[in-house]
Amino acid sequence: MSKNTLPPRWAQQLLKRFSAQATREEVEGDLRELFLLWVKQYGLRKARWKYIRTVFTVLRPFQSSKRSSTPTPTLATQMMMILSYFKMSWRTLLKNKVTSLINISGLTIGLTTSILILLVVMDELRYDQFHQELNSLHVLMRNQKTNDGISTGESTAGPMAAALRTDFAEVKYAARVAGFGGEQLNVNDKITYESGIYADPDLLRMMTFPSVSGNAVSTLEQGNGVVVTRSMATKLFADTNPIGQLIVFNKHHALTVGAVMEDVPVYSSIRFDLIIPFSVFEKENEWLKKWDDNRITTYVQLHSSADLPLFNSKMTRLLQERSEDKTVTQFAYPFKDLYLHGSFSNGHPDGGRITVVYMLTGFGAFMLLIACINFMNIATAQSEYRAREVGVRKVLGASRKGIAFQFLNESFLITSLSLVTALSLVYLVLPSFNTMTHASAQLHLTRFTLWAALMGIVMITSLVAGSYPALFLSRFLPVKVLKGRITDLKGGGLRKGLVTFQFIISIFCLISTIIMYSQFDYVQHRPMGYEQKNLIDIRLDSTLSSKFGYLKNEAARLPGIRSVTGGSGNILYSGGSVTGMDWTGKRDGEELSIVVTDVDYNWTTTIGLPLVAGRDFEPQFASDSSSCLINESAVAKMGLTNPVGSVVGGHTVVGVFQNFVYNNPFGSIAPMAVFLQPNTVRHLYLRVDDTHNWKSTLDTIEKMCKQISPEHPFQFRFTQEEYQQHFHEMADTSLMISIFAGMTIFISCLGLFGLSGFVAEQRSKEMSIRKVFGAGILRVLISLSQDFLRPVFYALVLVIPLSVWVARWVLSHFNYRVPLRWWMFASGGTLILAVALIIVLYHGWRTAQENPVTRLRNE
Amino acid sequence: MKRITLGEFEELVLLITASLEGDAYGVTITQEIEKQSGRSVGFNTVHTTLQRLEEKGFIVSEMGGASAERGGRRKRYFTLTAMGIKAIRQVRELREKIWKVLPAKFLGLAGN
Repeated sequence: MSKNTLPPRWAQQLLKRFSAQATREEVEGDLRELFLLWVKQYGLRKARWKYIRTVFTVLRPFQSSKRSSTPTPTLATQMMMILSYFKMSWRTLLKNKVTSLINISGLTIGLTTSILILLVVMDELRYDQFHQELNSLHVLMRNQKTNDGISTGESTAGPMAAALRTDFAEVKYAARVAGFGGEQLNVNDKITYESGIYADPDLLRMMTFPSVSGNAVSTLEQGNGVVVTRSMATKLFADTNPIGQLIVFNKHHALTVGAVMEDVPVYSSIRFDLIIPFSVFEKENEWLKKWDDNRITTYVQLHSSADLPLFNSKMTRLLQERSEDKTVTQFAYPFKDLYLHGSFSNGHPDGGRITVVYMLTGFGAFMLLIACINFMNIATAQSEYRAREVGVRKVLGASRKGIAFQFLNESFLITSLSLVTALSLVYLVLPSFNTMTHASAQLHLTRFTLWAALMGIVMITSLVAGSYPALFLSRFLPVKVLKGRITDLKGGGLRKGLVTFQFIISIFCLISTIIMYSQFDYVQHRPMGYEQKNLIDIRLDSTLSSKFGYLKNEAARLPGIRSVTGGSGNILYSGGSVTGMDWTGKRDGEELSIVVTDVDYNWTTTIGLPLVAGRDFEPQFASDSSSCLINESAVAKMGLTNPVGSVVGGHTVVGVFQNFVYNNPFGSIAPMAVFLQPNTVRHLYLRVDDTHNWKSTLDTIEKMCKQISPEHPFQFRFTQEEYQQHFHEMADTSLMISIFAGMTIFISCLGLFGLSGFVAEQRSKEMSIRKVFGAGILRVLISLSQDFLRPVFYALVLVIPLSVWVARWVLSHFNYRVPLRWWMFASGGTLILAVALIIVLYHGWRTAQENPVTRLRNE
Repeated sequence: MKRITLGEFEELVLLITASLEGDAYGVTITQEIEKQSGRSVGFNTVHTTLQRLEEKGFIVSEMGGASAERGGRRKRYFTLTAMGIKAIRQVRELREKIWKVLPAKFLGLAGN
């Protein structure tokens, strides 16, 4: 018979498993015969269908046998049995208070962590989901070839959006967006500084940002309107009606509030409180007309019929036609993926925040698993006591299934109790957790998905924790266990394996934490390459900037100031990078992304940056306005053999300065070119004397600034302090990780505590006999503890290669990384070994100290 | 005498089983019902009815007759018990008794 004329295999299996046993054979045969008839009559397809339908009608999954002698229990008795299971579980819980406490606290901590992680993960997954047109929203990304590979960013040229709107049929809407920060707003004689975005009206057509009053889209179309969010309206206008109010933006744009929007949801990757029409920005910035300047973001909504690859290639062709750079490509990236999958390497998406989501989820799962292992270990260790109970139950007619169910029920009860305590714990720690990690996780107990997830976690946890004890304990044969002790306590090997596993994870967590801290510490104390101490950075507005020459001369005369300079950017976050720059000896196809920044005279001396070759800009050389300084990294990347005198980007190199750390303290130092442009400075740098009273000097400078630009708030910062703030966030993250690691270790130790206590109790008679026969305390201690220390030791041996490998891999992502040292691994391992030793010896000591008589008296 | 109750479908199954004399099992019974009555019946209906009839004692069954096209499974052949035979007779007698007293116009002889 060919395979094709057989009924579906799965349906046959179903029939075999779930039809009534008494009539199974003939039903199977009859259906096979009927199937053949049907094939002849209706064809194969229909026959199969008919077969499947018929199989389902004859299934009797809950009917074991019509002819069996045991009557099916009624619903009432079944309910009674279930209630009795709960009652028994409850009694067991109360009877073994210590183990219950260990189980519940372990599971509580595991669940608390998992719930926190769940909340954070759910939060992450909610990002940007509120947009109704989410699936058709895209952000334009740009791939740029450089010597270091392809760099990808959300950047577009200014004229792209307009071109898309007119020439591309698949584009429904296209909007340009640019952010601004700290611009001046004058509202009814009050001055504030606010951040927001410039945006085209299409942005509000495609994204879901609902208005409270007024028409936001037409406001942005007008060009002299402004859209504010509800909270910004309250901040600026208090209780008065904001619509129609005047805001003077950046001193010379009088804008009228045309619409008030709802506040942007927390779960939005685009955030703002203020939207200024993009036309305002466009009028002031000529570069927005150029196809080679890519500093704004463009969002598009595509029609559902759009062919994305085709659209991308059309866009790239357009860009390459108009732009000078023929290697750039542009592509539309789904907006819904931007938040979680927003990281690119070499032009291809390579994760992003999703990696963190996966890591957290994995961590939560491990944490729960460790708590489950505690439950399993303690339950099997207790088996000697429970064996008799199982025996009696079986004698009284309990089935194996029933007993397994009872043990599962026990783990379910314990997990549920732990869930209740975990939820209240989460409720308590959530606020501090949020402040600590800058998360915005919230416990919405009314949300269905949360409960579904929680129930899922509880079910899985109780199954994982309970299934092994359930299978193990329900296997006992009543005759054996009731006759006497079961000498063969199986499960010991597995228990040791599980303990090893727990400690592998714990030691791994500890070692990771140690390495993480060393890495942060290493970076924090990275040699900066310049003198960070006593360097003060004062922010200037455009008015102050225009009077920079005067300001500088006045400041330089003040006592305690060694030297003064200015720059267009903050030294810590030196500006944007450009590509397409030429240099002496540049080969065809070579491309480099170079950070450029503008400075004043005395720049290297003021910030304390040593020159490797050449000289600094000097006033006596008039030609210095077309000269530049470059860093060592630029020299190396460009391959300049004779840097001083070569030409970079049309400027003659007059000096090479030592590499210094900027932007990312973890990264390698990117090539930098510095130009002399005293007119564009926005930062005034002061080098003050160490001993000097800088406060009074700054007061004088503040007075000077206030005279020139009374409205500008005087802001100054010590560069060193600002640099250290980099690490505050990192410190938060590392604190969170170390707390989690600590919890993991705690749960494992809790399990070890319970287990060793239990076994010490069990072996107390043996130990008493040993003592009677002359064993010393040390002998007893060794005999008791080696069982437990061995798994911990194995874990240590196994985990070290693993953690070396993982640490190497993780650190390979940082350019500036701490060298791995043997003590990082040894200290973690030793610490855990010591804790385990203390825990095990605690119980061992109590047993060893006991007078043998107390244990042996009753024998 | 114990009263015999038969449902309409039970009666049909019982009659067909009797008519198939010696070759009455699930498949043939289902096929025959479809052929005779022209209505399509599910296998499961026939199957459960047969089980019910056996429980009530109208039929007995015995296994036998495995074949390749059945995947080597045996058939369950059904034969009527004395009580089963009595049951269909009773039903028939009852029908005939009533038909005898029915007015002539129901007999279908007048051709209307």
